Formats: sequence, structure tokens, C-alpha cells
Amino acid sequence: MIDVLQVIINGLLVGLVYGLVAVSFVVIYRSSRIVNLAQGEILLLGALFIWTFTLGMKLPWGIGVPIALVCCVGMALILERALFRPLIGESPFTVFMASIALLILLRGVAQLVWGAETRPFPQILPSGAWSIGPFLVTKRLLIGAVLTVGLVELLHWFFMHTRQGLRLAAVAEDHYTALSLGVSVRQAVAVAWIMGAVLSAVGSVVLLSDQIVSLNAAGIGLRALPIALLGGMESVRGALLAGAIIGVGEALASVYVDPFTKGVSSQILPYVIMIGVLLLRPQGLFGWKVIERL
Amino acid sequence: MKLQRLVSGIASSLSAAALLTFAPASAMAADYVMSASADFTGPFADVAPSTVSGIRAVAAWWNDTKGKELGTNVDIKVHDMRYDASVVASTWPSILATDKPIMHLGFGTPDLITLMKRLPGDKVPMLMSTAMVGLVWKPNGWHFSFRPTYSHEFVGLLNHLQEKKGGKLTIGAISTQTAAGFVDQVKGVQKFAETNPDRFTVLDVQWVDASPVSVVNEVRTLVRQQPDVILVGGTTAQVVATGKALRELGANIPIIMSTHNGLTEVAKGIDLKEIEGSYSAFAFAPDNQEALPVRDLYTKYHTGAGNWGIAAAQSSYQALLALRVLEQAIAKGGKDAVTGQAMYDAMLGADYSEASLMGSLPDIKFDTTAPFPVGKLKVKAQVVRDGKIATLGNDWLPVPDLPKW
Amino acid sequence: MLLPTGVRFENFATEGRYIHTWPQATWLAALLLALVLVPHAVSLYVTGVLTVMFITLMAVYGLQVTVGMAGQINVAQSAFMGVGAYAAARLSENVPFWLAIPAGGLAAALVSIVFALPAIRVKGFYLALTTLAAQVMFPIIVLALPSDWLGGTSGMAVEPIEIGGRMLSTPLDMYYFTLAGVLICSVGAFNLQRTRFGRALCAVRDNELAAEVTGVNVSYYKVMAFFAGSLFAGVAGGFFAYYIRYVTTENFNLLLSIWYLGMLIVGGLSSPLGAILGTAFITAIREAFHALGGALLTAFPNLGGGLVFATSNVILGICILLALIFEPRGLAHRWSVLKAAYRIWPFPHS
Repeated sequence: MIDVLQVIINGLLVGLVYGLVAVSFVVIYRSSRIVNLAQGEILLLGALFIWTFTLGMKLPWGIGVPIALVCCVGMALILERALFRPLIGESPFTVFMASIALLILLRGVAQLVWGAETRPFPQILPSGAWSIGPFLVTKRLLIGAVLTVGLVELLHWFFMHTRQGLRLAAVAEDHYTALSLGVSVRQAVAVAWIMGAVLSAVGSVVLLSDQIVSLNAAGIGLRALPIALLGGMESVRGALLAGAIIGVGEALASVYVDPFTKGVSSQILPYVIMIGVLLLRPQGLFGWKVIERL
Repeated sequence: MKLQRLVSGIASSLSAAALLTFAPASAMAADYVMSASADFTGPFADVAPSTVSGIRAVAAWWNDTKGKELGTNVDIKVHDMRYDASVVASTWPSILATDKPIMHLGFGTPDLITLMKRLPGDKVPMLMSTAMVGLVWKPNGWHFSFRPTYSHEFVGLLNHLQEKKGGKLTIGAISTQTAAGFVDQVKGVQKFAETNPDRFTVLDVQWVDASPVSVVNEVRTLVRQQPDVILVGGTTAQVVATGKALRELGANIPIIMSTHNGLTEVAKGIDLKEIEGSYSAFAFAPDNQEALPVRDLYTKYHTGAGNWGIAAAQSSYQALLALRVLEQAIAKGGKDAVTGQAMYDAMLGADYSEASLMGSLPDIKFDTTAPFPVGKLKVKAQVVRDGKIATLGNDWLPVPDLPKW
Repeated sequence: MLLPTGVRFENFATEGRYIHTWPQATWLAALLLALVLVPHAVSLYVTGVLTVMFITLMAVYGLQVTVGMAGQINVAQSAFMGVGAYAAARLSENVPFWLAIPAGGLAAALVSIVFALPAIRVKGFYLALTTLAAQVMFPIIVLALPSDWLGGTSGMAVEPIEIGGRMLSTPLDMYYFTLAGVLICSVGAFNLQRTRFGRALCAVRDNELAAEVTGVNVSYYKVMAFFAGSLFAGVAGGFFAYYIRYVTTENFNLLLSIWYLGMLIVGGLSSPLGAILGTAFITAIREAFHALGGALLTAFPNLGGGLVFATSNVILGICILLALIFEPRGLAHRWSVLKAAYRIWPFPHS
């Protein structure tokens, strides 16, 4: 019994961290209707910025991390201005392809500037694990989970109860309609990207604190995508719940089903769930349902 | 307008590149050519300079010493294959036609899979410096490596550890499904345990991502079963994650890794003190061994980019073995009659002693049953002592028999 | 679309043709002759590059059908190519190549139907996500299958082709073999647009609602778009298997799918000519860049090797983005503008 609970707890914590990455997807979509497939690469760049300003330049992380965050924001604004502003109002396909092109571009830039070697990531969150009763809880993941929940609640309040947040929701629904009502789409897109970049940077801290950072870290983006989809691309809280569900599912599958399937089931579970969601309930758990009328 | 300027810019660079592509390569007059694959512009490009420098240094030394004695000169022609099988397939015919190599020094898997079937027909043997995997354990090939499979290398170390411990050695493994070779490693070790059930057991295999977020779950499942060692043959990130998980659980179980995810790489991501007592196993002399003549001659003859390390060591041993094979071929047939076929015959027809290979490799003997040495295989290992990488003893560790899996 | 002077149609059949005038026919014949003669004039390496380019072109044709004609995003073309390659490799032991390759195409098409089913319910990028899932799951599933099915973790070797007792093993042989294949695929791709099926796909892309209302079964054609596109991909995979003579999952990854999409976008989505132009353009740039990069590295060996690989990715990304922002209709559009300007010269093209 304790074993199962331990597996569930660990899966929950890991899933919530994935959920943080998924939230950065959702935030960008919720604010500007842009699906950014390159979110994993942005997370990678955030991590590399943090490395540069902490271990690379030997600054304490209290100074290094804020500088890195500023760099992330700057990078997000450059991307938004150069790439996505010209594409405002274009078809979803164009925007999708642009984000795929961005994925390759950022991957190349990361390798160009920082090289392909693996680097240690500074320890920002405490490492080790707490013993809570018979259970072992990784400190880094627990702090990350609490942080995630806090951030999500903050974002939820922002989107639902502030004027700016509601304006962003209007842009997410339709660029042209929002424009016609006097909402600045440009500003919305900029704000969306800033939030997305900052969330990615925070996500990278939680994921990689005291681990190593290599170019493979970008793969987390594609793993978080099914979670964003399950929760609903417009729902911040949904991403969290979906992260929990998929995290627990993956953990249980890896312990109980994988021995029979040679390790395949835990790796394809998120994608199978994603396809199931798309077939049965495309808007996810809490997303907006678009009803088309003839 | 913008577009047209863009296009003309591209056109001019294209024509410049075309000139470069079709320009004849400057060739040194040489008696024999050995071609080599490298990856200068692909995913493993940061290792390539060191790898190539190893080959060139050893060739320069040989030309200067033994080559002068025999009146032969060997030219090394390096080709950029970008670690891509289709580039290898496209480049190989021109290598055969222009270089007419007597041997090809391979770099990695794309070389292996593309050339495996063509070499017997083209009659050029290939020597690799990477560990083989069970998937290429087929007879009558012309592709060889001086290293046996990863599983053999692990088994050699496991055998030594079991003999030291006495009783049964319990093994846990962490691997990933993402690459064929990683799954194959574990299968080989499992086969070995099956054939020696009273000395070894593979308790469990846990499958994780190539870059996992946390493997605490999986490691806990392993630790529960009390393994003596944990085998992690996959990526560096997996080793680091396992090390951290072990520390979180307060378990002090040594990890066994290979070369690509070995101690030098792992040291970048985790303090070696945390994995005190962990091992890295491979079938050649470690680059930081105390007395290593190959390193001395590398230092003497090395020019250009790259520096001594595991990559340069591996390729140096590769070149050294290839040149010793050439010496055999010349001894048998005379210095003017060496062809790919002669090299192949010399490779299989003679034993290469550790002494002739200057201690870099154990005694090597090839035959037609496998693409790696047969007979008494031996490995060496590095171990973490006091937070530093040390060599595990000075002698070679024998590898017990491992049936095909 | 501006037609050459003096061309007029008396019935529908003549209007549907691609070649209307004698000069057009002559140019086409010259192009075919050039394709046949080129391997004798260039190095063996370039012949190999052209062969791989033809194989890529077949896959991009398929992408043009699914993405360009029917408007369904497909990020898994490389995975479907892999399915075709594995199927052809498996069958190549028992069956001659002219059965194995089409069978590979069929296998890929059938697999793609599974991932096309969500197309009935979702649109746009949601569909792309399903195909993304397909691409990611492909290597995992293939590697986990038992070894005697698909070679498991080892991959599979493919026997060389024999035609009339003669084995095709030289680069020239493979070039002509692949050239024949790509010509057949080209005929298929160009003619698909003119059939009822092709027109239905275009209708689905342009306005789903209107298509449904006029009696086009949108769900059926969406799934069939994937079927047709993956048929091309599977055939391309079969040719690839015979060229390299070994299949592993590492040759069919997400990055390649993205390159194919990029080639199509740069070339122009709306016609197979776009596929041709895009593939040729990107291949030329990539080879030129690698040659330049190689020369740079020999001149300045301390530059660090990862530079070229990383920069080629950056360049591809930039190409795609430039195409999307400045010329979303691609090189094919530029080409037709050029033709129109030429035809009405000296009048300015508006």
C-alpha cells in the first residue's frame, strides 16, 4: 500500500513540474492564440542563461537568476517583435509552422552560442529528500510543486479578475475582433511572450536545479504538450490538473505495466492520452469549446 | 526586392561552394591510403578534432619510424560524414574510386550500418573504435572493432567484482528505450547472468527517459531489491540522475558506466565524491593510465586541433592496430602488394600481442565469427577513489565467455 | 495564371493539360534529358546527393498532397516514411522490389489512417499534435516489437535489387532506379490535382463548410488525404531502404519531418512544382553550406565543429521564417510571377 502511495506521490510531484512547463504553453495561447511548439527550446535557453550568469560568471544565484530572467524577457520580446508580430491575424497553420521553424532556429542558436557540452546547473533549490512518515519526498520537486500551484493561482486570478487579463482573453478568442474593439493585439502578444519566457525560466530552475543541462533538456517541451492539451489549451488550472493526472499515470505505468511491455507503456502513455483526448473531447478538460454553427 | 537580393546572395555563395566542392583535393604522394570517417559538421562534431588528431598523430609517428624502415608511407584521408547514413552511402563510392583505401577507419553507427553489407563486395576492411552491439554480431563480415560489445565490457568488470566479493553478485540496471544499442547492452548482460546463475543475477531493469526529470522512483524499486551494483549504460544524464537519486535515498551502491557516459563526462554534472566507488568499464587502456607509450608518442607527434583524452586515445589505438595489420600484410606479401584483401587476411591471420600494441589493447585476435576480437577478451576500468578518477589496478581483467544473445 | 500567347481551348480535356505549347514540351524533354545525363558529368558524391534528393522529393510530394492540397498539417511524414521503409525491408527477403516498395507505401498509408481519424473531429494545430504524437511514438514502438517482426533493436538489412539478373549496386544504378521512381511519383502527384479526388481535397482546404454543403464528404476526404500523402511517404521509404540497404529508426526522426515541411513551405504549398523547387533549393543550400563549412574548418581548425551543424539548423529555421513572413506562397509563386513577367514583356507585370 505504502509503495503505491509513494509511487503516486512521486508521480504527482513530477507531473506538477511538467504542468509548470505546460502552463507556459497555455499562458501564451491564452493571451495571443499562438501555439508555441518551441517552448522546450525557450526553457533550454532560459536554463543556459541562468548557467551563464551563475556558474559561468561565478555570480551568486541571487544576482544571477534575476539577470538571466531579464535576458529571457529580452529574448522573448525580440522573438515576438521579429517573428510573431508580422504574423498577427494569419492562419493557425502559418503560426504553427513559424513555431516549428523557431524550434529548429533556437536549437541551432543554443548549440552555436553555448556549444553541445553538458554543463552542471547551479543548485538553487535544496537537494535531497525529506522523510514524511514512511514516504520519501524529493525536496526540489516538492518546492517546485508548491511554487507551481502558487503561480497557477496567481495567473488564474490575473486572467479572470483583472482588466488586462480579460483583454488578453479577448485577443485569444479572435485577433480581428479584439482589434476592432480597441484591444492592442501587439501588446497582448508581447505580454504573452514575456510571461511564457519567465514561466519557462522558472520551470527550468525547478527541473534542472542541481542536475545537468544539455541540449536534450529541450525535449521536455514536447512531453509537456499532451498535458497542455489534456487540460485545455486555454485553462491554466486545467494544465495543473492534467499534469497531475499524467504524472501519476506515467509513474504507475512505469512500475506496474512496463515490465510487460518492455518499458514502452510509460513513454507512450502521454501521447496515447493526447490522441484519446483529441478523439473524444478536443477541448480538453477545461478548455473553451468552440461551437460552430452553420 | 528583398527577396531578389536574398536570392542573388544565395546564388553567389552557391557558386562559390560549387567551386570548392569540385576543386580537386590536394593529395600527398603516398604508397597507401587509409580513409577515415569523421563528423565535423554533424551532431558529434565537438569530439571530431580530438579523434582525428589521434589518428593523424599515430600515422605520423609510424611513417617516421616503422614506415621509413619498411619504405612505406601511409596517407590518412579524412571524410566528413556528418554522422548520417545517407552521406556515407553517397560518399563511399567516391572514396573507393579516388582514395582506393586499403582500410577504412570508421567513426560510428552510420558507417557500420551503411558499409556492413558493402565491404565484402568492395573488399576493404573497416576498423572501428567504438564498442559493438549485439546487432552487428554476424559472421563473415569485413567490419571490425578492437572493442567487443558493451555487454562484454560490463561482464568483464562484473566478473572481477564477483570474484572479489565471493558469493552471488546482484545487478540492477537502468536503461532507456530510445536507442537500440542501449536496450541491446542490457540484453547481453541478462544473457550472461542466465548462463552463470550461481554467480550473477540481474534483479531488475528499470526504463527511464534519455534525459529524465527524476529517477527516484525507479532507483528506489532497484534499491529495495538490494543490488550490489547498478548498471547505467545509457546517457550521461541518466548516470547523474541515478547518482543523485541514490544519494537522496541514502544508498551507496556503485554505478557501472561505459565510455560515452563515463566518469569524465559525468564529472561535469555531479561531484564525483557523490558516486564514490563507481566504475567505468571498457576494453582498452584508460587515457589517464600512468605508463602509456601511446600517449607519449601522441604528445610528440600531435599538431593542430584536438587534445588527449578518451576520444583521442580510442582513435590512436584504432590507428595503431590498423598500422600493425599493415606491417603484417607487408611481411606476408611484400610492401608493394598490399590490398584490402591482403589487409583482411593479415587481420584474421595473425595475433596482435599487447606488447606490439604498446599496452594500449590486450592481445587481439580476429576471426570470421564475429566483428570483434575473439579468444581471451580483457577489459580495464576506471574507478572513483577519493573523489577522483583512478585506474582500477594495472592488469587487464579477463572477460568470461558470453554466448550470443 | 497567365497563359502563353495564342493558347486557346476548344474542349475541357485540352484545358486540363500541363503542356500547351511546343516550347513547353521542348523544355520538358530537355529537362528529362539533363536528368538522365547529369550523373556522367558530376562526381559520384553529387550523384549520391541527387539520389537522396529524389527520395526526399517523393516524401515531400506526399506532404504536398496532405498539407498543400487538403490543408491538413502533418508533422509525421518521416515516421510514415519509416513505416514504409521497414515494411519494404521486411518484404524484401521474400518478394521482388516492385512488389515490396508499393507494399511499403500501402503499409504507411494504412498506419496513417489511424492518426488521421482525429482529423474528423479537430482542425488545424490540434491535428498537427496527433501527427506529432505519431512521430514521437514511432521509434519507441518499433524498437519494442519482437526482433523477428521488425528487427527490434537491431534494425534490418535489405538485399540489393536485381533486375533481369543484374544487381544494382553502383551509384549510377541507384540514381537511375530512383530517377525512375521519382518520375512515376511526379506523374502521380501532378495528375492528382486534376482528378475528382484532388479537387475534393482542395475544396476541403478552401472552405470546409461549403464543401460539406456541396456534397463533398469532408471526413472521408480528410482521412484519404492522409492516406494518399502517406502512400508517397511509404514509397519514398521503400526507395530509401534499398538505397542505404539497412533500416534503423534513427533515420526517421522529428527533425527530418520538420525539414520536409520546411522544404514544402519554402517551395510553395499549392502545387507539386512547389515541392520540387523547395526540395531542390533547400538541398542545394544545405550542401553548399556543408561544403563551405568544411572548407572553413580546414582553414580555421579551431572554430569548433559543432558550428556548422548548428548553423545549418539556424539557416533552415531562418529560411522557413522568411518564407512565411515575406512569401507565404513560396518559390512556386515567384516562379509563376517570373513566367508571367516574361510572357507579357515589355509590359510591366502588375
